[in-house]
Amino acid sequence: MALRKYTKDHEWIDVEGNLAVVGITNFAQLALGDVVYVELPKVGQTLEKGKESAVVESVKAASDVFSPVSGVVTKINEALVADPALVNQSSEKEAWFFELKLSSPHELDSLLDDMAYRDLTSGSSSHEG
Amino acid sequence: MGIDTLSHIIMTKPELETPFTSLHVAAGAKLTPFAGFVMPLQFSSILEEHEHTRTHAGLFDIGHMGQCSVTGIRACETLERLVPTDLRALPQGRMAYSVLLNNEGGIEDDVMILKVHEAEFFLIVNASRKSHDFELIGEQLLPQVGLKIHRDHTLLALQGPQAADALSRLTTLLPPAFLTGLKSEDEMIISRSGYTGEDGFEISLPIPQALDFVEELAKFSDVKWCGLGARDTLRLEAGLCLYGQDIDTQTSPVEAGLSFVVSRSRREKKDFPGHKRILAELEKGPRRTRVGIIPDGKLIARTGVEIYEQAGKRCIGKITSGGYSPTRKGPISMGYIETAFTEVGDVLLKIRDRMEPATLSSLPFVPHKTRRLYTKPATT
Repeated sequence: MALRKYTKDHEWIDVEGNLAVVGITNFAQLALGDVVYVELPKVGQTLEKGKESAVVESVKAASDVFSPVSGVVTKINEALVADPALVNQSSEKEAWFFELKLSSPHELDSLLDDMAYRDLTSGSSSHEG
Repeated sequence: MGIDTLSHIIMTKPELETPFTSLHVAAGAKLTPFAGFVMPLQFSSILEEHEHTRTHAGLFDIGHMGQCSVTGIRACETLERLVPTDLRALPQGRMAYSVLLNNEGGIEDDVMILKVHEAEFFLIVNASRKSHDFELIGEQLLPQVGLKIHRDHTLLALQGPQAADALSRLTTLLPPAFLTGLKSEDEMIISRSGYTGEDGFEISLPIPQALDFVEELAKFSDVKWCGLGARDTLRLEAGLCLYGQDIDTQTSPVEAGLSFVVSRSRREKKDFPGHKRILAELEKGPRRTRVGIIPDGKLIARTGVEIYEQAGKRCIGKITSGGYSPTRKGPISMGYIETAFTEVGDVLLKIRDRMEPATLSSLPFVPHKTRRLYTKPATT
């Protein structure tokens, strides 16, 4: 079973062996509002932990998605290109952004687990009321 | 993600509420601070609310905006000291879009002015400028002219193809065409105007009445509350200016493509603030011009994005408003470029260090569906 970890910047990462799938959390999609365009990395592209890997354009603003780990992109989710609203509808499942092959698995150690991420987001709201 | 975990509303001073704020909170609307008020950004989704307004009827709380009346025999004369529009020729019951000017020919605010009758004008002004505007008007009051600020009234906008039908179920006070307005005995003022390009109404009523009114309206399935998010996407599609972004104290109406607010008779009389600059621009053309710009790709060009000429060497202007157009399903923006370049169709936009090709476009992006009276407009 894949292990899911999180970044403090609201990305999630599912790890299985030396492959990982990355997306953004429900908290993030709520804060962004209607997503209208997603710019994904290219297959074969090298990503660096903490650096920009994708861009999400919502009606209100453009937001960078930072890669939780370093590695090389192996797959991208074309469904997001066809239907960016999927990010709002199923951020933690169907709307994965890309898969990559890990180059430095130890980077996972510093990511947040489920509890730690929930603590981070429980102290604040992504919307009022 | 580049979003922060803290509440994005940092209350440095208490935010003001409108009479409907508690309704919005109860409805679970996403709230946002705007011009000192806490306003609903969206109820369900900006895209849904936008589409609903274009196909049915969207209800907007615009109680943050300023409303006032200028009354007296010399009320018209008073207002003409600030605006370049021929208010004298405006028929009773007609409304004009105009601007308050400063001595440099720049725009202090854009306003809607309804001539209720010869000695009574009703004005709607922007929330961010209302205190300033009331002061400006106050300074110009001629003897026996009164300025009444309607603090006990709130304002609603009902916009869309079903707006007239919905409104007619609640009142017989229905202005017959775009830019007409009526006032009832119990202080309700309804104008057929708006900020969306759709047929629709702006409704001013005393606050207690407003709460009942909204309760009745909410019973109709074709009427839905919409927030400021949709208000912005709608007005951008309609090519309408947002004060503080597309027009400001340095922008002349000519640069902004609003020359129509400078009536022919007033041009001849040269009797409005900043007439020197404005008349020179009308004659020789302004140095810069507001245009529509459509990015060729999918990236959105937002406020502040620099516009370059085709070779990508020189910056020739800036985007003042940009976003996503739900109707066109792609990005749209407005900005100013050096007037000479308005002839050339293609430009480049510097979006996050990338030079993205874009094409100049006329405005509006989405045709207006306002119901006009086919008589000669009073304001030319």
